Amino acid sequence: MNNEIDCTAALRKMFEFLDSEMTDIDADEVRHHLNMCAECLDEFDYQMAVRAVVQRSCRCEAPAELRAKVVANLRITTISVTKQFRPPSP
Amino acid sequence: MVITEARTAKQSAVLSYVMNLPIEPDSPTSGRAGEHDTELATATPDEAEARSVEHETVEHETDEELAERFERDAMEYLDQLYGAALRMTRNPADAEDVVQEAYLRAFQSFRQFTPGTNLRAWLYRILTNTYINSYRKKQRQPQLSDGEGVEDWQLHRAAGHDAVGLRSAEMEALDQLPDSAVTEALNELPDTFRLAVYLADVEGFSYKEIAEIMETPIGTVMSRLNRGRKQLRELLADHVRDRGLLRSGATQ
Repeated sequence: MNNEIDCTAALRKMFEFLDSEMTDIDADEVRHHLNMCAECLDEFDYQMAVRAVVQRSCRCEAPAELRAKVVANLRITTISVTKQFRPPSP
Repeated sequence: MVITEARTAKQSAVLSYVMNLPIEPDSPTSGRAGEHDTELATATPDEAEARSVEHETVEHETDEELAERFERDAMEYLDQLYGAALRMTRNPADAEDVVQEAYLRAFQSFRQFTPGTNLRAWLYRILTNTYINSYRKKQRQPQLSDGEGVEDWQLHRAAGHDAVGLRSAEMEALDQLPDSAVTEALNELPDTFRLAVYLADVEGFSYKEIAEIMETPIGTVMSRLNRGRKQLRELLADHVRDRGLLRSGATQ
């Protein structure tokens, strides 16, 4: 099999691999290496853990007033646009 | 040596992630589920035909109908866009302003948006633009800082890895970090790094989508992600250390 890559190559490709931005062939090389190398697997896992805490800490809901304000802004804009195109009254 | 047998999928997030990935032999990249429609404006002939039918009904839309459609389709992304704006501006009041302005701009150009294309990415692009052109200009710093002066974080870790086992202690410590410490670390990143990391890791956008949102080449996106993530790891490690979350024997 000609799909051996070393730790340096695997680590260099870590982000692309975890972001699913690799061709299947390249991703297979990385998978193959991760099957053989616990240290690299650890490193990849750590990066996944970082992603997980970032996702966890960025979860948020927009304030209810913001939703109301945005919708109100749209209504005002619609009314003013509609008025602009209304034919002048006699 | 078969290490994976000893490590169940439960122990390794990467392994379970890898095993859940659908294998698509025909596809050049194994793209994320649900993120295949990465085009903002172009389409295959079939899609284009389907859209042109939709487009005709859209063309005769009254302003009220347009507003209704916008409200129906675009408002569902409010929480996400607010979350992104919060990461951009780093404070809730400014985030609200940027989101309000972005929604207004989006609504004003909604007739130009091709139905059926990637609305979420389109809205993010407008949000990013609003942030750069309106919010940052008011602060007299229209350029996004790229942290170019910061020396290469890539050199820090790229070459090697720690011994097995150390990482698991670090992961445990990471889990114990409060959200506020994580967002603080994110806030310390240069703007473009922070935004790229947010778009990839929180929103799950592809490199191509991020390139379109940030109006920059894919290579730049990759470099920002690379440097931003590495810098973030260092910053998170600092927070872990400052809070004494790492048990002794597992220090770096």
